[in-house]
Amino acid sequence: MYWKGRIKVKKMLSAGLLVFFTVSSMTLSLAAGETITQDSQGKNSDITVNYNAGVSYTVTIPASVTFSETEKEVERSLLVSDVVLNEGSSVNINLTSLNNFKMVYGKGYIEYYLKVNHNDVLTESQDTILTVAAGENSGWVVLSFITDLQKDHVLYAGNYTDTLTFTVEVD
Amino acid sequence: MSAIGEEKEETGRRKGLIFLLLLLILMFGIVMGIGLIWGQKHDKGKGQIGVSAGQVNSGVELVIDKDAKKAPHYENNDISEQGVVIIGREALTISADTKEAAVDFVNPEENAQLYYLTFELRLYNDNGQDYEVLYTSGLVEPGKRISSVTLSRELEKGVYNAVVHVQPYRMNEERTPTNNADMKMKLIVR
Repeated sequence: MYWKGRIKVKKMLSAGLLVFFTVSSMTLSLAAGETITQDSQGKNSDITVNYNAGVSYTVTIPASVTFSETEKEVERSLLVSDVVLNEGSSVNINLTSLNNFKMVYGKGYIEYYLKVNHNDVLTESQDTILTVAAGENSGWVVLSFITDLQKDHVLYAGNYTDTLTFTVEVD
Repeated sequence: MSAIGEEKEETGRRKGLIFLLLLLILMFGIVMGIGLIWGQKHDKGKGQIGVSAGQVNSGVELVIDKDAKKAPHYENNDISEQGVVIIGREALTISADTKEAAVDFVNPEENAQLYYLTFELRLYNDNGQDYEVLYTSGLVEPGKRISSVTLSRELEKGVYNAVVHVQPYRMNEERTPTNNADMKMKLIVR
């Protein structure tokens, strides 16, 4: 009678401990946010969360500038935004003037020049005017288009124009 | 053994059993509690994918930064002075030995009612001066994209210097061309 009772107690104790360890191991796993699958029972369960962000950016270039007798200085913005680059690289922009900073009509022309952020005068094409490095979300410069509308070289009435090409490169 | 002795022993066993059960319940409760607290702590560090930076309070005092400048893109409401928005990429990957190519030439929604865009894919020589035109698009409306094109010729495997020349046109009757952009990129042929 005494031994039967002890065996019963041992069985119950063993069953209780088994339930305890099973439930407690499940509790810890679920609290850690892991996914338990049939394959992962008894093993560590690892998951990987992935997103491969490709290089991308958006450039906003000034479309055009129109001078007049009352407006001889016009400001426009050059903007790079939504920049996602590889570490260590940058977006660089330079500009080229089709007529070397002259508005041309036939053989006549009117000169103009450009200031970047109200400071540096841009005299040559291919100068880098804006750099946005990896890690920066955006960057911009203010371009000031300035002319005195000197008509020394104006031959005919007409629309004197120049075209700017903004060259954008990721280095 | 007498009946009184057996009864005492039975009572002792029951007491022992009850004690063991209480001990098990207590241990179970402790493990559950530790597990939940540990899980909550780890959840704070995880699960921030897709959460904007503004939602994460780093403990820094939130005051308006006086050094921040107004973004020029939103500075001017005059539609005639609004710039042309162009999307840039670092590289374009196409297949070798076929003229058919998957591309992504987009005229963003931001140019709506303002500018058409045309795209010209140029292959540059090593000197960087001379180029060959591989593809020229027609006018692409704002909000639309070109995703497959037929090139002028097939290319062998390799990495080439290329430019996507983007020419905007005003959406007026004259379709006046504006300033334009050369988007330099690597043309990867596989």
